[in-house]
Amino acid sequence: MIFIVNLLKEVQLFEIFSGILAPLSKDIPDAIVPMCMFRPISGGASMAIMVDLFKVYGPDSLSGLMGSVIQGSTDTTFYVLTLYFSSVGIKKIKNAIPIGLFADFVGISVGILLTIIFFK
Amino acid sequence: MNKIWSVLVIIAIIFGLINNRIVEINNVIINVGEDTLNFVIPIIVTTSFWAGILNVARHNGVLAFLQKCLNPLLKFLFPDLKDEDEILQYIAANVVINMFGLGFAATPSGLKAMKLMQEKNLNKDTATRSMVTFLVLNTAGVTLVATNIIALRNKYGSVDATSFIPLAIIATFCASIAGLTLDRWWNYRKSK
Repeated sequence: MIFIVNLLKEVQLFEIFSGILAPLSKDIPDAIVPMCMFRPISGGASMAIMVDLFKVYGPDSLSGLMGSVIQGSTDTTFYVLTLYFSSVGIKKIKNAIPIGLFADFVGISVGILLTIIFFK
Repeated sequence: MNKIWSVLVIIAIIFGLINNRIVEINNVIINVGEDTLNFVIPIIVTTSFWAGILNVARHNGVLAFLQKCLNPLLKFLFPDLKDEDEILQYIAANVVINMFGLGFAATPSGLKAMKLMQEKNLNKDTATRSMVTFLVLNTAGVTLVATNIIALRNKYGSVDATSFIPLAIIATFCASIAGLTLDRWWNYRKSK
């Protein structure tokens, strides 16, 4: 996962990801966008991005703090759902994914807002 | 999951070739081992510490006490499991351990809870209402001490490694409330 995150970063694909959402807000650092996209899919990948934020901007910078809050705000929805449902052989998981993603979305948004309010 | 990763690697490499960033790709391949080591070691160290704390809490009854505190809340969240004390106990253990940010240590009790719920399940390949609620609680669950993040912040020289925690707690709390409310509302709408 670290490999992939580094790879995506080095070939500058992250910049394209962030470019899509950049007009939304000037207050959200660019590097946060790929992290939000990875958070529900892979905890390892989003944590690798968080470490990258620490390296580039420092853990006490706005980006570093925002990354920490996002990482702490939710768990990896897809991982948890796959693990638990496959352990008991359930195939139809009803509304679990939309609810999980909605919770992630709320957690991440609140996290970003709070960081901007308290640390900027 | 593996498919997603493979696709991403291929996209990244093709994109890199187009973008003329072959040297960078090579550097990533060479340095990935060291990066991974730096990433994993602080996590292992703090996780071991907190796993020890967890063990102490289990032996001196703190864990059991926290689980008991959660019981009324869980009975409200899982109306179908009101009389299934054993399942509720496993769910409580899972939630409490998750609060310490020890996801891996919480998994066994979570899987046990799923197994017991599956035994009561009449329709074996379809998730029950309680299962969905449980997993929402799990993925959006409140984390009080995000162990790994603190470890990594320390490693990269944070002056105040725990400063983000209050915000993270509020955010995770909002996520839990949002998830559980949507779950409730979904069930309520269906039962009408």
